[in-house]
Amino acid sequence: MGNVDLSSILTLSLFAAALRMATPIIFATMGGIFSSHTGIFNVALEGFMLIGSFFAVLGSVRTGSPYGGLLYAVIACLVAALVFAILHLELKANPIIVGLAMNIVAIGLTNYLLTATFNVWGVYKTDLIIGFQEVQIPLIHQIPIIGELLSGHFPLVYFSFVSVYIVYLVLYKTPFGFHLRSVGENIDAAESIGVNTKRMKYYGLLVSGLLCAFGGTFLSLSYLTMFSEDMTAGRGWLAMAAINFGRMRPVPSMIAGLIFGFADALAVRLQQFGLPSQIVVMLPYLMTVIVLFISAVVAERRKKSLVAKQNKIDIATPLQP
Amino acid sequence: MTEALSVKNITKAFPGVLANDNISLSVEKGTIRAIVGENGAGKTTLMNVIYGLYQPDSGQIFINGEEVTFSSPRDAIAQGIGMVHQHFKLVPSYTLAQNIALGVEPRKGIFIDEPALNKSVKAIADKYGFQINEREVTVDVSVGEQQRAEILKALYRGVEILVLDEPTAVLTDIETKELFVMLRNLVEQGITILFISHKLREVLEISDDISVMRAGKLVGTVKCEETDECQLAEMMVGRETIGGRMRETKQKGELIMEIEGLSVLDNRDLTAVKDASLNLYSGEIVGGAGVDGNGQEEFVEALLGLRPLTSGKIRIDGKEIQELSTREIREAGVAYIPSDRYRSGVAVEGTIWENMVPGEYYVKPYSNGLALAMPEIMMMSGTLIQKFNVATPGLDAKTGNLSGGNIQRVIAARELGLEKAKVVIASQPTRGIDIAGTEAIRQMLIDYANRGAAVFVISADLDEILSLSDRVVVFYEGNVLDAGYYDETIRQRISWLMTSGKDYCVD
Repeated sequence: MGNVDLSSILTLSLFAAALRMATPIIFATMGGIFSSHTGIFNVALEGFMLIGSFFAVLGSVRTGSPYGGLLYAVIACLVAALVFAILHLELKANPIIVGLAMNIVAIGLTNYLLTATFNVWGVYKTDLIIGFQEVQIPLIHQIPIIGELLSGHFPLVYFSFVSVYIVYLVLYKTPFGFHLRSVGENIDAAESIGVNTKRMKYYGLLVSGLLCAFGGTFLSLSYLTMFSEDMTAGRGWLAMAAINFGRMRPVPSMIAGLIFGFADALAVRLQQFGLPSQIVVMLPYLMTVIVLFISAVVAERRKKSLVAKQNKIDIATPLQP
Repeated sequence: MTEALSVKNITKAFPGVLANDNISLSVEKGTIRAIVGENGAGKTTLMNVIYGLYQPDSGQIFINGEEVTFSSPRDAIAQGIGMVHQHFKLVPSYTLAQNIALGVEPRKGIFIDEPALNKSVKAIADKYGFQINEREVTVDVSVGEQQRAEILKALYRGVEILVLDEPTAVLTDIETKELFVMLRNLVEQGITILFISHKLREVLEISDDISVMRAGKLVGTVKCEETDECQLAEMMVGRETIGGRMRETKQKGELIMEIEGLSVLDNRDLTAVKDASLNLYSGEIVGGAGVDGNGQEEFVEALLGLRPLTSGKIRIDGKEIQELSTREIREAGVAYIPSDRYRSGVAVEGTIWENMVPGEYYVKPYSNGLALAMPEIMMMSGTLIQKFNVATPGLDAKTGNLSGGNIQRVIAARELGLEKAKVVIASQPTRGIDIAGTEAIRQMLIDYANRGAAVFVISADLDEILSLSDRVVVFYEGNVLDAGYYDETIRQRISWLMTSGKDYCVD
């Protein structure tokens, strides 16, 4: 290990791999942002993605097209999100408990369906699963360096970045997003101007289901074309960390997602250099802890300066005549 | 003059309370009408009826002479009535302009038209002479500016009648003055304002007419220039004591608790109590009167070690206790009956016996070192429950299932039953309790004082203060003001202190 050249680790293909690793995290992050802005911290991102992964494989086999797979995944995830929404919003169940339950159900359900539909255990890998094809971007792929980095990815990689922009536009530039965010921040304010707060929470959860379907589909129909037990492997949880780090804003949360993706890619790369795999596998989560630590420190500082500012306002005007 | 708003024979009852009893009043367009009264006089209920939050049991509302009915605040806004609540309904991360236009944003295609939004808000602010940085983020601006945004939010929707619920309660003095200038501007432009308050000084400064409410009834309406603080205070408080006096004034004993120069901050880190001093003597009941929110809660919490002091000393029998923990303060002989009995008084999910032992479970004979000594605990709980007449199916019953009066008896039994306390601090001890329960609780406090304890009763209910106290202090804007010993004129002194901070009145 000692005589490994750093430049042989930090190659362009590592960065390209980082984009790929970040893709499902970014999808789940954007989905989670949507529900977070309605005041529901969705801990079921992991479960939604896993359901998406399985149904993408099922759809791909049934329709013979990865887009058919995506459609299956979207429908399945919307149903899962609807179940979440009904349990929480109609039956008043605690959203954290519902989310945790959905994660457990997702593992059990996909395993069961795997056996029931394909009659295999643990892993399903066959030529019948049709995955997406890489896209070479004309012109760009001929540029040295940039071409290698940006071109030749799967379509959903590009779409994950487009989704960040769409989420940003919807949340911050449309009346709909404007009203939706007011629900999460001050539900009294939202109600006082006539926003249907419950409907907004439904939308938030359904959009998080929709985007998790994209993330799940990417996992099982792009780089790998297979489904394996619990194949999301904590990416939904990383997404929650990314949302927390970016304080629910799309671009900073995406950056956190990219950092996690990079850590993931680096872990895979380091494994090839003989670092003990237990340490390597730890890396993304270690990175998560570090990133969250930094963001907590920053948030604390911000809070303090805000309090100081407010105090200044109050001190500037004497309390009593 | 034309009439902007009038209500006729409005009656609204809640279980156990007649909040509005046959109220009729009419407000002229382009004037400021103050509605004053003590806590629980029914002001806010009346405003909520006018704003469509409550539907009246009977009575009519007229706007510009036409009868209207509201099923929600949205109907009221559509008819031109807007309300600014004490707690602002603003989204912290939005700019002031975004908050003002929220729900009625100018659009360009599917997007919000931010430039047009800012411009339209600026235009409204300029029209009514409001100083506002409409592009500032709400959480970064002062409370006064947030309130301006809240008022503009109503005006932006074309409101012509504005209801302000205790608008000055959250403001500093300078902000209050600024608010009044703006309100005058609004009135000159034809806006009609209803202004709820209990601060008579401010009411006299800003309003054209003043309506006084007491115990759900409209006592009367007077022109501002034809009245003064004395008359208003008397109208607000009344002359007769309801319920009668339960206490014969006793000679006080020796000094037990000394509070000296106490200062405390509230939850927003603003001064809630300033340099307050109070002595409590054996065998004496001291009443703490005052309108809610004048520092009573913070004062009591500081005495119990539940809130840090910024300065001051508290002594019991000469020993300083301000540095001690709440448990140590209780062990030093302070009993506490908190105002929010469901949150601080008992564990509602716990059984009766569990709620009897929190002060004792760790000492003999109720603990044998390792575990609770259940026989002793049950014996003690059973005895006290009987002594304090708690109506309960058993010691294992869930406390939260008892009535408010019975829960208060449980608390009294725990705090007073073992007769360890030398000082009893009771905050709003009978709020929301039926008549029989109220009398019983008051009698317990009197009996306890007669046995030589110092009793301090804080209540927003003046009749309770007058029924119990030997001596009265008044909480007014964080000060603890002495209203003196009970006599025939104390009611008047209290009402003046409560409303103006002075115990005299210049006619």
